[in-house]
Amino acid sequence: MQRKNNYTLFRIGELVPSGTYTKVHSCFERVINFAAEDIVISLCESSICAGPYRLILKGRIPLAKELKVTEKEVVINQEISLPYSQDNIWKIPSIHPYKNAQKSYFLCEKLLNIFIGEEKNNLLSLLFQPPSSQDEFLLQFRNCLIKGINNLFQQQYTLFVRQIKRRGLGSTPAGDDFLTGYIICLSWLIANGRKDLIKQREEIYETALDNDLLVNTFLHQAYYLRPDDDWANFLLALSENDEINLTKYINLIMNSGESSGKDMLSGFVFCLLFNWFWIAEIAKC
Amino acid sequence: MPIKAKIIAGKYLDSVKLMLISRELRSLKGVLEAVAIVATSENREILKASNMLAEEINSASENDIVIVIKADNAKNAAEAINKAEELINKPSANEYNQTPIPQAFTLEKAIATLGGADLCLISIAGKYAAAEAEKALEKGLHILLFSDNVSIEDELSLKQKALKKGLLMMGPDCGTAILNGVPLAFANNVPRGKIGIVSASGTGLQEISSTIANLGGGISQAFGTGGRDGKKEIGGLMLTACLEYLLEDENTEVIIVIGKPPCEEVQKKLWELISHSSKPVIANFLIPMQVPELPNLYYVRSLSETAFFACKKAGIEVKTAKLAEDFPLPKLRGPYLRGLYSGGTLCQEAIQVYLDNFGCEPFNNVTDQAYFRLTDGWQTKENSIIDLGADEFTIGRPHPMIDYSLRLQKLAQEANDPKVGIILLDVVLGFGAHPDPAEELVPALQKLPADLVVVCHLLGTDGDPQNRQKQKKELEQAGAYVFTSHHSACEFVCQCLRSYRSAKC
Repeated sequence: MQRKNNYTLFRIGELVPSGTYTKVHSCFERVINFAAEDIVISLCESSICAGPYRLILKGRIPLAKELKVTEKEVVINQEISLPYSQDNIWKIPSIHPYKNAQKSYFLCEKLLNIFIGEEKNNLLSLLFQPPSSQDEFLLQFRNCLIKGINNLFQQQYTLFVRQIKRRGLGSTPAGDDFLTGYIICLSWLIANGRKDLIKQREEIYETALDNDLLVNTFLHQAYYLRPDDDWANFLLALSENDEINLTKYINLIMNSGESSGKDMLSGFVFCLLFNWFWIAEIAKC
Repeated sequence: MPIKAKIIAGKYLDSVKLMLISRELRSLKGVLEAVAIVATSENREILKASNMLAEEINSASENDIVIVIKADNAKNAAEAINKAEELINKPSANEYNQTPIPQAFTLEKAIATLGGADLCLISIAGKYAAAEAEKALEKGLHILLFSDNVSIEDELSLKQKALKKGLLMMGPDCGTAILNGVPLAFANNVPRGKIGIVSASGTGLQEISSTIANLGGGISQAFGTGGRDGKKEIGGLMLTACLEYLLEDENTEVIIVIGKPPCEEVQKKLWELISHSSKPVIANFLIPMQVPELPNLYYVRSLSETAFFACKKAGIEVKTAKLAEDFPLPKLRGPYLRGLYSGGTLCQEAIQVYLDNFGCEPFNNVTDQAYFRLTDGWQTKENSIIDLGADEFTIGRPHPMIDYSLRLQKLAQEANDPKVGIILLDVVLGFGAHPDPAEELVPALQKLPADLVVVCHLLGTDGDPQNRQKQKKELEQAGAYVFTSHHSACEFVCQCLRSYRSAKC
């Protein structure tokens, strides 16, 4: 029997598949992830942004052990019924190509400056500024990053991924988040006409896929350029040369701890840096 | 070296939390290295290369979290493992088992939930803030608009609307106010009293209200107006309205007006209002300037003196000794000053004191003078004072009053320059600020070269949640010269510099 409840479904991602999900993949403070074949569906509280595989509740989330999704309602633990309409369905914004390449270039430059010059606690700054000799784990992790990047320069994409994947802190290790950000950037550049990057993306994506569904969900979203709301708005701001929104969404992404936003952005920025010559050429036009 | 490890199965923790746990463990006695990671085969390789692959890890699955500690002895390693378990299992404020905080997703619901609310504090992205403020004004609420990036046109329209309804519209970019004894946003625990404040400056208001409290006085009301209120486009609408209120308020005997200099038209309006009253008004516009000769108008330039003079006018018996600590001048190792500020107005005052002493500004990131303006705040040179709360430093991180990491990095960077002889810092206490600044600063100060002089200004009251006396004691024990008056701290720094320069002549 379903009881009256104080929960409301605020947003449901357009790609959330109907079905009953009983396997909890992972529990964070504000998110419960359910395994659904090859991805996870996330039940989130309202401070988390919308996404294609997310269900966002207003306020806090109940301690969910089972999730049933139909075309009209979501039922939690067989007792909390959350009806929804078309208005609640969150659709992935269309990430259109940039309007003005030169302006986008300058915004990319600003982003690089933030990551390398101002914002110090990220994987890029770890590359440029070695930690103290006492931080042996970080030093070794940094060595792996450097080796991986050397592989990248030699176009050995599989080796690049192997040096970084599943390494670093975090339940989704920082290296995996870095790779996700890197693939998002590749997908964005490909959407902007860089067809030469397709092969690189294929190889990196295939090698990065894991037996962890959460990591795979992020990678899948990155590969198909189906980002969550903050990332979509960040990419739109880059495309539309909207500096104010760019800053806003950088802040939002960097402060999303559970999804290790800083590590993902580091990967994105590094991908921009690696493709710098191409971007610089556009800017000269 | 003993290496201990512990497997935590079935837990998911994000990298930020694991990093914080690792950092906290490393600060424990005898701990040389500590990591909390997922036991992937790749991470095990890293552990092996770091000589930290403990035997216990062999039985961990690929998804388990492992804590690995390298310590100087087995006892310290075991204690660190216990601490790690405690930290990992520590529920955060958002855990399910806590009593839910009442939440409302619309203004109407918030008003209904609270019952009798008459003020709305708005802190959302600037582009949405004006619309929300307008809604709140429609509902008859006073506004404290913490958000910035609100257009000047919207500010004008909101303030006009508020005044028509007899409401306050403090802001945008208003960080501090104390209304009916209730501190709002970044503010200090200050008793109620006879002195009223109208301020277009956040840390200016904090410094003055705290000093008044420390001298034994109290505040009737302290209004923030937002930094642009005195500009021609806004015409000082809130400055004049709040001043008018305080002039008529029976509980206010002395008034302080503070902020950057308002435009000439606004100044005229202020002088006009003051001329029709006999209440003492003390103005401080942070620079030397002429004010009309009115019997009840006084112009004071330092924040501490403003507070002191207001107390005096309010009949509060104060001792000047309470305002300034007395230290013998230390010998500097090098000729240059570096000021690392979190409070914008305090930074302005420090620049002004330097200017008064030496006839030119130090290099800084807030001046309009091109020659003295640092184009990159990270690249300080010679004598430099920087505001780390400026936009260029706050992208992607909390304000430096809350998060000390940037300042600690800068402190270490400046200390590495042998020409830097003295460092000046502000440490702001109060609601909204870092819960324990000394905890962050003391380890950093202890690592500095012994011959580098560090001067701290401690802003706050004994009623603030951080325990001001404890903060002062810990900073002093770490070797800092701690001043409770900002002006005195700046003067002390200038005396040190002068003494160094005289000795070299």
